[in-house]
Amino acid sequence: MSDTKHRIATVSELESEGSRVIEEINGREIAVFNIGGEYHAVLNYCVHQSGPLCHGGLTRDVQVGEDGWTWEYATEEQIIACPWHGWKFDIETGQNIDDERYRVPTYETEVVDGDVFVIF
Amino acid sequence: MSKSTTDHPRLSIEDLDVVVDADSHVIEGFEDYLPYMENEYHRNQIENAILPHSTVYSYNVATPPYPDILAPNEEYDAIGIPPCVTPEQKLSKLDEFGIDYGQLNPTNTAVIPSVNNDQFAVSIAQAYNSWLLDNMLDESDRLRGNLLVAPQKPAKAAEEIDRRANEDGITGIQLPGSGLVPPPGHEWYDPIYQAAEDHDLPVCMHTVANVSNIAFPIQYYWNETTAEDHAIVHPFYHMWNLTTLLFRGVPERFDIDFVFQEGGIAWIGYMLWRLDDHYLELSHEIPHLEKLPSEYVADQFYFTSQPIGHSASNPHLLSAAVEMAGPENIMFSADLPHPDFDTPEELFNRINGSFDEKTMRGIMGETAVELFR
Repeated sequence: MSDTKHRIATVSELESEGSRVIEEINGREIAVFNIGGEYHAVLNYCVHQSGPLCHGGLTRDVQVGEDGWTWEYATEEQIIACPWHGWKFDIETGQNIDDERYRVPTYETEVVDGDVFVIF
Repeated sequence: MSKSTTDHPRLSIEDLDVVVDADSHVIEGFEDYLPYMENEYHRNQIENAILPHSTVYSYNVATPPYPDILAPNEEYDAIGIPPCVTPEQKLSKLDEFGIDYGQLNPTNTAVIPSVNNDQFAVSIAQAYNSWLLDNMLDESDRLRGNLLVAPQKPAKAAEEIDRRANEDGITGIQLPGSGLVPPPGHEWYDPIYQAAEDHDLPVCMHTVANVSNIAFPIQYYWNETTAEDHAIVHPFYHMWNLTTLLFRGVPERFDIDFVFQEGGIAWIGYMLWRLDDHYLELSHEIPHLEKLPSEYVADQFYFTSQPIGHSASNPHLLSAAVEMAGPENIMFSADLPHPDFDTPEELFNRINGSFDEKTMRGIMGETAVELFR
């Protein structure tokens, strides 16, 4: 079965950095985010305990600096933290930032005539 | 998989090539190790001390421990368990229980974190190590030992490790697991970990009950009995030690192995579930780690089995506890000759049906032989 484009939002709804729209499409709740001017779509489902992942806050990964001591941000605000328990996933890849065994589904996006589509 | 299948022949405890007591004690007194103290001033001060258990060390016990066993005994001219300050005394106990090797730890000097004076602490570690080497390790190939270090002065501890690490019979470091403040994840101890890494020696952390007041003063002062104190202080210290070592990235920053002693094993699986859970939920506070805490434990942490606890009511669950902790990371220990010791059979007979032969040989001795080289 070939993939289908599904309209999820308008460009104007996602104008501001970090904004999001969550819609149910064919039984799947999907969120599309504006991260750095690009649109990334993630299933609104946390693989931890089935929480509504995309209702969580945007955050950043943290790392130890070159001095081996200082804590500092390692990424921009492209991490979604599940509102239930705080499990964190990279919005661009769906990858859990702490354990590579966990991942949430992501979707290709496309903009056509001022509308944002997700493809699946 | 370490779980057994039904088609392998059942191993008997007599079939084991090697049984190691991975936490085996001497019972050293002041009279044994003080003659080895190199600093004459420190030696005189301690030798002439009134009540040295409270004026050099700060022993804290709620009530007399094990009074029916430890009360002064005429036969031994001392406390009521056989003395253990010569190789013959030590080996006779190992022989009694069919144990081939003992990885030696102190008894009384294990409370070295309670020594207020850092000068005394460093000298006590030096004297104990000299005594141990001269009287036990140099006398028998069946005895190996951990080098005791004073946590009060990590730079001096590192010097002691550098000085002695290559002595025959020294196969580990003892950084006492009770009374460490700051906790062992703190960078305070980095010189000790660096020395351990440099000399490829595992860091053993043995807990004791008589210094619970240092890190858990509220519990200590409100515990009315040794029983209350002893029951909680070992897991309390082990859990705190493991948590700070992991969450502050020590096993990421140093390529060393840790051995937790005297805490039993049933707490480990529970704690690993908790630590992994906290890592996944609060990783912004744990940036040193690159993988789950349980994965560091699988790679770099070992646990000695005693005291198993009273597992007779549900013995099949002891195998589950071993499985959760990681069978490759569990080493049998007897804790001889202390009054809460376990026989080899206490562990072997309970879990033998659940693990294959190689795993059982590892748990009962071969893992310890490999680690304590």
